[in-house]
Amino acid sequence: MKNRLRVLRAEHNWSQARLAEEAGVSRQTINAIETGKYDPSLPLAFKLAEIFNSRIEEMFEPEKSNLANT
Amino acid sequence: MKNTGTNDERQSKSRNIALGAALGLVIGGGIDMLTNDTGWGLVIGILAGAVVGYFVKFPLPVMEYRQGAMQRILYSAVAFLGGLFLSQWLMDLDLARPYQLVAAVLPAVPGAFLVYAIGSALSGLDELQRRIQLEAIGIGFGTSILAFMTYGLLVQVGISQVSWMFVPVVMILLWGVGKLWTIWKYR
Repeated sequence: MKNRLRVLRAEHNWSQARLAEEAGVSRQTINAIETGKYDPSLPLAFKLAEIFNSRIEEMFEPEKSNLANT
Repeated sequence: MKNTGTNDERQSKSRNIALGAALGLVIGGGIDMLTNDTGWGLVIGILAGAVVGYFVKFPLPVMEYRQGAMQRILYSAVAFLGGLFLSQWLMDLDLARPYQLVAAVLPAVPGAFLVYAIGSALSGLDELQRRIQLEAIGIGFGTSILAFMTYGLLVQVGISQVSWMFVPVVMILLWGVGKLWTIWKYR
């Protein structure tokens, strides 16, 4: 899954540690989401969207290959 | 803010001591095998590892456990090991059979606290860290079974038997390897 987390974080001028604290997760988790190595759970995805006052579908986008399989 | 820094420092210190003790347990297990299972290899390994952990900051990514979780694991692990030695000492006293049975199950009491402390620490992790631990435990469990099955077959063809104390040491070592692998995977 692709996401705009890094872009949104940069727009807010936040560090990974700051975002991790806001979301109540570890910095390692934020880094893994940003690098696409980990897809967050639905509650965490909603929380991240809420933090950036964004909609979940604006933030996360499924890979085209995943969509083709559904 | 000052308090948070102190708490973080204390947690990091406990984490390093626990990690050092765990590494010492693995190395001590090896020494113990070479010294005919006297148990001293384990004791020296754990204590030396804990001392090294106190002074050395291990350059590993760490799990963010809930406040006090590592201390609870450390204390219950120490109580468990103490229980093991006390149990062994009591069993060597040639007590009556009912007392021997009590002595044999004695380490299970602090052992239960250790299991609870580990479970409680894992439940306090965030979702990625829980996944890392789950995958590490899966790798550790699977490779342990594979190692022990292979070893069992090797014993049948004449390889000498080792102490049962080696079993948890190998399991901890393989869990550690699994954890390093999964941390690297999600780095």
